Amino acid sequence: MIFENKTIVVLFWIILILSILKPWLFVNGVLIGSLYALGSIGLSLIYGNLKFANMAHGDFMTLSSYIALALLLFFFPNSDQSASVGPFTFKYELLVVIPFTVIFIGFLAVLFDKLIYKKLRDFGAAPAAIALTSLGLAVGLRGLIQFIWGTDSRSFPRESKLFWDLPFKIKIPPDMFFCAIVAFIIALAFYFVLFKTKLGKAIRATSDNPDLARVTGINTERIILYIWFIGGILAATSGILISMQQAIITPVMGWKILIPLFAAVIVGGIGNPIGALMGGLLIGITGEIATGWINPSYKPAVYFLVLLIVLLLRPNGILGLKGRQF
Amino acid sequence: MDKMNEENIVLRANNISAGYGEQIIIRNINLNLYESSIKTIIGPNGCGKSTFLKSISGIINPVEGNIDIFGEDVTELNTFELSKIGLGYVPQSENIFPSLSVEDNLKMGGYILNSEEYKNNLEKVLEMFPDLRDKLSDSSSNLSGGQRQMLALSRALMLDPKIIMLDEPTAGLSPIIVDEVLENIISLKKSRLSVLLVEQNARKALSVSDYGVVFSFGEKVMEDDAYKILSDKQISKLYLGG
Repeated sequence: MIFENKTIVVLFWIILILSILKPWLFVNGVLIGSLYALGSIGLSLIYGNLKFANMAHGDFMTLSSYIALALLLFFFPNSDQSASVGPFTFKYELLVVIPFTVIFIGFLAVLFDKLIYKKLRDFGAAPAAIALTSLGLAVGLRGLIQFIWGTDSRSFPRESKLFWDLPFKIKIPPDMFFCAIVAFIIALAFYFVLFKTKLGKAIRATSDNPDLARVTGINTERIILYIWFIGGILAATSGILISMQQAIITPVMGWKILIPLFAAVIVGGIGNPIGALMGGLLIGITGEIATGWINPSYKPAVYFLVLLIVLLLRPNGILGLKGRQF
Repeated sequence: MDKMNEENIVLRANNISAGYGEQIIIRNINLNLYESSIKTIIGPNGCGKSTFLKSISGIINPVEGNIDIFGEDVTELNTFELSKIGLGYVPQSENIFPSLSVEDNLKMGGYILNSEEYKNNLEKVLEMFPDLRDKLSDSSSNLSGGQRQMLALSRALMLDPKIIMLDEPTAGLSPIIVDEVLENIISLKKSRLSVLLVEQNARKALSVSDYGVVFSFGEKVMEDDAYKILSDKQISKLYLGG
């Protein structure tokens, strides 16, 4: 059904042929796209249920990286001298602090809902007003990050490691592979929660029709808190993984990544997390493949070009069929 | 009207005024629903029939008045809590979860049940609507209009409610399916449910009802036995198509 449109089939073949010509770019695209996918799933989850574009999602990603770094330096001040994990550049201690950071960010997202978004919902604020509030929160979080940690870039303690050399000139940084695998596992876990558990079905029911969900006996306000918690976890995980993969943490990293994330969400079909996964991969792959022929600084233009083409062909995005939002 | 005494009242709406934002749609509505009876609200489009049901179900909050269910004031209760005390509601449109399968719709209907209660209630509902049994794994968005209504009603019955409010359950259905839906409503009454029905298909709905209520311009203008409303020439001319 997705490929009914001939033009989409043609585009699919173009991407496939370009991928065969430069397979290393395709592999990089899949690896980067998996991280975009994870970030955009969280963004899409919140949009699907709360019907607003959460502009603070990127800054939650940034904050999670800084908090992971702060916890790492506080509890393991000598971690830069310890051994790294197998073929990867990061240290064991980082793996210890990640779960605590992720859960903390999940609860922080819930707290922000209780302090800000719940009140706006109760006032009957329009989605645009809530989105603008999230923009204010994004700017505030970024300012706070710069105030506490400064504007200079940071990184997790690391040890240089060789790239993996694979056939067809494919070179993979081991960290990138690790991050992609973690991203896929979390995306799968999220899929399981959303489609196979009672909570996930209640989340989808709330997204379909919140009034009907309430009438049915579902406490939608509690479901919204779960959504923020899951959204926070997804933002934090993708933020930390991107910092690990890029080996750099800056106060604007999350804000900058919002462009491909929003592109991925829209390409996949707004509010559809499976669409967001597909959109993230498509944006990642096309962006990377394009760097084989154009300057990498034009990547955002490629994201928007993909977005434009997909929306011209399928105005609701790849999986954005009416009534099929999750 | 032998059932119309205080003891048999299961739902009492006292002086309800409600609307959307600043706009008040219904004014000072008083209405009682009696045990094991069907009461149908009729009236022209926009007269506030659906708004009244929404205000009872808590989807919109009344600006004035209060609602008692089984003698308990439920005006301040959250919508999701009303299902626990035995109130079921099937909205007019968008009354199923289209992204879920038929079975998952029913599962959401029994969201607050434990697994044993869920299985028992599912079996009861499927006995009442056997056509759904073969469609449990189908996507609910692929159901026909009649099947959707059946699913919406089944979903509402999953919590074994004592009162059920149905908002235009026959809207957009073929005449044969309309009769089927009305048969189902009669069988609900036989299983001791109290039914508050809003219908455009007024004549047919009143013919299966015990009582009727007429709304006009957001106000209740008449309430009586259904057969009396059916035989009232003026009401017939104004609201029942002559």
